[in-house]
Amino acid sequence: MKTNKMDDLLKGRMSEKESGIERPEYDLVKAAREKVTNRSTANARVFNIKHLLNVRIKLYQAGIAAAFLVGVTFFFTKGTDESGERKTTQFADTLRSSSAKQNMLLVKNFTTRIN
Amino acid sequence: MVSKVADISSMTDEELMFRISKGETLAFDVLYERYGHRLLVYFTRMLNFDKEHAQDALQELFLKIVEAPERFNPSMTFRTWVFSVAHNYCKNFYRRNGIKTDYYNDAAFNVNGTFGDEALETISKMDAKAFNKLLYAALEDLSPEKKEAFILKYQEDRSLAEIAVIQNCPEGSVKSRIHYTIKILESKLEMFNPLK
Repeated sequence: MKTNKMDDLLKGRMSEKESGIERPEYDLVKAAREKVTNRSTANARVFNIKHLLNVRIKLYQAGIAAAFLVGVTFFFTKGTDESGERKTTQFADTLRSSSAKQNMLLVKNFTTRIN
Repeated sequence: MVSKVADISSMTDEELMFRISKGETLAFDVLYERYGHRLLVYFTRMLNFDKEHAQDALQELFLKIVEAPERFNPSMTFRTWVFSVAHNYCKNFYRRNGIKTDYYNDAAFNVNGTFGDEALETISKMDAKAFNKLLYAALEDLSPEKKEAFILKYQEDRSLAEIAVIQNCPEGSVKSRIHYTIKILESKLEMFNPLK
């Protein structure tokens, strides 16, 4: 009982109101407030990059993209093989169409040039 | 806009901290409105009634909060955490100034003084200014830990468990610090005891 009375008395005397200390001005924490504002700008900038990185891709979308890439790669690889094959055929045809005498001449010219 | 202010005003301190980490100045304003004055009073009382120093401490504390809100330990409530940060500030201040934290010959006070109900009645009726002057003078003579435990209990109305977390000590130590402080205050305020 006595302790409670003492407690109440001290709580009353120690309260913020009784302290006689005025409320602090907002200017006191101006720098801190500005930092919060800066944090908001920085967050907005980071958010844009995050937004790009955080795009949610579904499994079927990834599958379609992968299939597309495989298809494109296969298409171009096949095209390159075909053109190489075509060149080889043309060369063989040239050789076949030329006579043995012409071939000997080509070899002779080639050897002279080397020497 | 009005509803946004109302929404933020009704938020918990912890929610406000989250908003601050996202850069919401309105959340900062609400938190400052809630804690600015009480922390200033705490610092003023803890830092030997040096008002300028108390304002600097308050400024530094809020800068710390906004610079690294992720430091907030969600395992404790914001109000406990913020006072533990304030406690560390005062501790560093005492260390920097070479003030021992368990100092003064508290034992020199007569700790046997007790008040009866009538004396308490008289004290409660006496001039608040005169009483406060005496109370603050008594607080000045206490070690920082005792003073802080007393302030947290009677100014902030904190439980012993909360004070123990803030002061980073066992609950029993807080209990004995407050008990001892009250005994010292009683002996200092004995002159107001009409029965003596």
